[in-house]
Amino acid sequence: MTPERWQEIRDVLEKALELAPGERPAFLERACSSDPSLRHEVETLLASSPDVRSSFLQSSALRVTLAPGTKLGEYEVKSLLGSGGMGEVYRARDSRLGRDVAIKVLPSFLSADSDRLRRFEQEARAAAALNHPNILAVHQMGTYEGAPYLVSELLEGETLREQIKHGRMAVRKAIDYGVQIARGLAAAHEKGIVHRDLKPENLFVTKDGRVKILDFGLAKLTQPQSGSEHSAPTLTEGTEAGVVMGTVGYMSPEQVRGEAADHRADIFAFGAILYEMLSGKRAFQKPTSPETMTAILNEDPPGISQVAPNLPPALQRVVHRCLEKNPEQRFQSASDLAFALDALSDSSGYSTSGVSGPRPRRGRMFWGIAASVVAIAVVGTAVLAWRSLHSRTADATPIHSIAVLPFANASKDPEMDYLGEGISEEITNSLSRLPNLQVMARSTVSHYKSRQDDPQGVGHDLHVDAVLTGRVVEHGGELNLETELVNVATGAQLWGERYTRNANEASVLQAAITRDVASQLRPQLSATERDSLAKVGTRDAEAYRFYLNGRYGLGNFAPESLKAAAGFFQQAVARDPRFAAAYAGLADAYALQGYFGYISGREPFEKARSAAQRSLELDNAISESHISLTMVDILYFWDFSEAEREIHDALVLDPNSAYAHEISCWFDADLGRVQEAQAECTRAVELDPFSSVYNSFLAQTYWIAHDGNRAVEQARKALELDRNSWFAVETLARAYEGAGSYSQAIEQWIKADQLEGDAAGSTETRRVFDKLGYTGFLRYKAKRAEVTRDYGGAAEAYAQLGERDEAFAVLEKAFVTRTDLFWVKPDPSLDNLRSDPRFADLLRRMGLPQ
Amino acid sequence: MSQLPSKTVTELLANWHAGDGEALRAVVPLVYDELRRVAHHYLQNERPGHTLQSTALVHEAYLRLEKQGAAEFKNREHFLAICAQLMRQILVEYARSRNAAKRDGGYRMTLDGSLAFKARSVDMVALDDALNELAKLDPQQSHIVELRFFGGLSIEETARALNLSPMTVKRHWATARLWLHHQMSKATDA
Repeated sequence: MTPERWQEIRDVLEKALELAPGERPAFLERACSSDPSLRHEVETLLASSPDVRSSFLQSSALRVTLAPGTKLGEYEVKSLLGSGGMGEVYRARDSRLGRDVAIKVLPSFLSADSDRLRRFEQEARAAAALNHPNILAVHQMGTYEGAPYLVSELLEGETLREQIKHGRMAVRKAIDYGVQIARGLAAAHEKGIVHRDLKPENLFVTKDGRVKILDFGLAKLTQPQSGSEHSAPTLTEGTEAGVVMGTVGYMSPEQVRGEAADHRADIFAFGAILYEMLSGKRAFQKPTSPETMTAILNEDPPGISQVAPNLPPALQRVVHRCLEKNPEQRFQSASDLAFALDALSDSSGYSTSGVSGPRPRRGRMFWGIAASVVAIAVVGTAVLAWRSLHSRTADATPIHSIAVLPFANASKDPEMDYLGEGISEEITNSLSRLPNLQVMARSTVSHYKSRQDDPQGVGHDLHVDAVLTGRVVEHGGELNLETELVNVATGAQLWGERYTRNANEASVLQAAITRDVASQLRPQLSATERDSLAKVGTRDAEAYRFYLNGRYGLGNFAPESLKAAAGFFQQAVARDPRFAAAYAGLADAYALQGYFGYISGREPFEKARSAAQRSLELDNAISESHISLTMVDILYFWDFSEAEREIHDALVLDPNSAYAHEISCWFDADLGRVQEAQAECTRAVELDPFSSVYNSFLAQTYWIAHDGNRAVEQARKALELDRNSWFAVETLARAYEGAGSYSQAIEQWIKADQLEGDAAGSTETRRVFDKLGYTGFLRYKAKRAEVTRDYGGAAEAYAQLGERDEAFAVLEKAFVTRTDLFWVKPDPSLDNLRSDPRFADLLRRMGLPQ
Repeated sequence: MSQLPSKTVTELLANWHAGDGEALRAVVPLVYDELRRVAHHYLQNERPGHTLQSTALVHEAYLRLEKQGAAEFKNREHFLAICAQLMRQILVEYARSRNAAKRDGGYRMTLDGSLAFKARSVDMVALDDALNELAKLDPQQSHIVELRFFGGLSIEETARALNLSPMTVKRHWATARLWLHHQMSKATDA
């Protein structure tokens, strides 16, 4: 084709496009009377017109992303709030009424079908007209450059999905939310409006705890109903494994079958959501969408009592009745459901609104007793606690647990962010030395950083009794800090104080706060005890800052992170050579770099040991020194009797330190004490539930106990917490091996290669496995590990192949380098070697008890 | 961020506004680096449900450059036009490398990130080839597609960038899409 010819074609084509499809043949007849091939060309292009108009190149590159200042009617776009599969949401200003609103802009292709769009509008309007406190208020609808949009009230908070991401919620809260959702549904159902796509993503929890149902009517637009238009995009089309799992997991059986679905479909979805709120687990979740759908049709979810023990039986019944396969057997109306739930919250002594009423101290433990005698249990706990701890706060609720929120930065200077966080972290560490006090780990609390002004809500979420918040501001070389201790059950302020210090006295300030908080919580402590508690390792502000940075770096096992951590600790001890905790941190950074092979040979371990010993000389009353020495003893020097003494001391000094329990777990596992290791790792995860590393090690304790399935489950949790952690991925691979799921294991080994940046390795792994199966892979793995001097890995692979001589040969090499025999005793991959006398001999030479 | 010498960008842009065409050519690699960094960040973290949008990328790059002190873009459309062109390069390169990695040649980037609607995915490499063909017939039309699709420019913005009337852009855009669609389905069938 020549440019001239294209111009001819284009001229005719443009004119044809302006006409209705019915008028085009006559036009073409006239326009191309002298050139039949021109007509043919134009017709060919026109033939794809319907497809092209609705989708081709109209996707995201063209999806309307509105720049700030864009006007949609009387609304002016201010900023993008978020985007998802179904369009973007913006914050906009309603200049007429002087308020901010939210505008959701849907993909423009949805408007291609005007019938569908009209029905959506009708339904959304009807829902909007309900004006119910539990339904998102929709103000207006319109189209902008072909893209439909909805203007609604602007909410502040997060979706229910966000709220349940980290596990189950308190029973009382789940009931409260459930009642609100059911009331919203009841109001809609009464007007004949069905949601059809209820899921945690479509439920929004505002900052003050109100639940709003979003997106009524949208389901009609995006999902085909029975007998609807054939051209519509369907839910299952393009559904790849796991991709839209979240959506199908809440469909009712009748929707899965493509049958007509009425309001009872919403009740089923509600049941699945309630199940998830109470248990932290999805009612229906399989690796792929088709499997999930099959499960919805044929399987009952695991009984709620199995996944969330100790729920009141009546509540269990409500959940399962919603999830009946047959709509006739479910609750027949959402108002019945709301009523049943509401009654339940009354009878169990839980108010669904406000914060009055008794609150469980520890969610799980409390319910264990609650099922029988609620009142006695509450009184009993209180009296016991009162007697032993006698809080002088004169508040009837003793404080067993506390969360320290990262202190807010009240100045505009981002430098100060760091200081507030640092001070609150050190207070967290100090308080964890108090007897009988559970202190939430920093990594867990930091998820709630943005909710400074809602200490009570955060406290409820974390199941703690008290929350400490603070605001810090620096002005003219002066540091001002306001802090407040809040009782979560009552919302009352237990204590509050303002401190003013010189700007370079951050560490003094931290000590003062710790001492004051401690005396509030535990008035019976002696002054000496309080002082030792508040002890800060340094008075040098810079050293302190470096130290905090170093600790942060240790939270991740990546090479650059550990290297940076070592650098920070070095700077810290250079500034203050008497800073014991910084030496301990330095020791850990060296030991881990040596263990992971980032620095080879004996040197990093020697350095680690001297740093740990220096730390102990400076201060043997901090658990960190003892932990560091334990670590280097078990990872390299195999001095197990010293390790045992040290970790024991660490736990005495810091009984609530997640880190101490974690290293204690490593030690137990190294000695082959599988049960003890499991208990210690479990404790570490309880104290710091959001650490991917701790969760991975817990999974490995199941793996060494030959409980592959449980290991898989636990490793998945670890991976969810950090999708890019090769350590979690490798743990999952081993877990799958343990469970006998080799094809799934291989996927994880490949992923681990990729995460470690070994693209060639991952390709080769796939090729070898496809061609030679798992034994082929193991042989490849053994060879590769030998080349990279990962003798432990090579030994595992040879052992799994049953090639004992080769396995022992590489174990001998590992014995020389000393770095690859961590957990060698319980390692299930070495099961084939265990009966061989050479194995016992190896353990003996390592100094491991037989 | 730090590898981008902000002063240079600002100066080059000032020179560009002063009529120095060379300055524009010199600024392109700088913008390219930044865009590629931003784009790769997104592409590498690609995950289901993640919305990858060229518009968002361009805006982010723009904001970053602006932060660097290069707030002198009096002519936003021109800047966006550069970005669109670079975005095309980046996405096509990415798709090619993915194709090579997958060896099945069938990788399709779902530009809207909403994987549930597979019909909307576009074969980047085929589109790139077809656009090159279109440029031989009418470079302006090829340009329009680049700006609209890769740069996320609206009809009005495209018109301003190319000094055309919005009506012309709209008509050329419609016929270009029909032609590209036909061209690409021919290539697939072959």
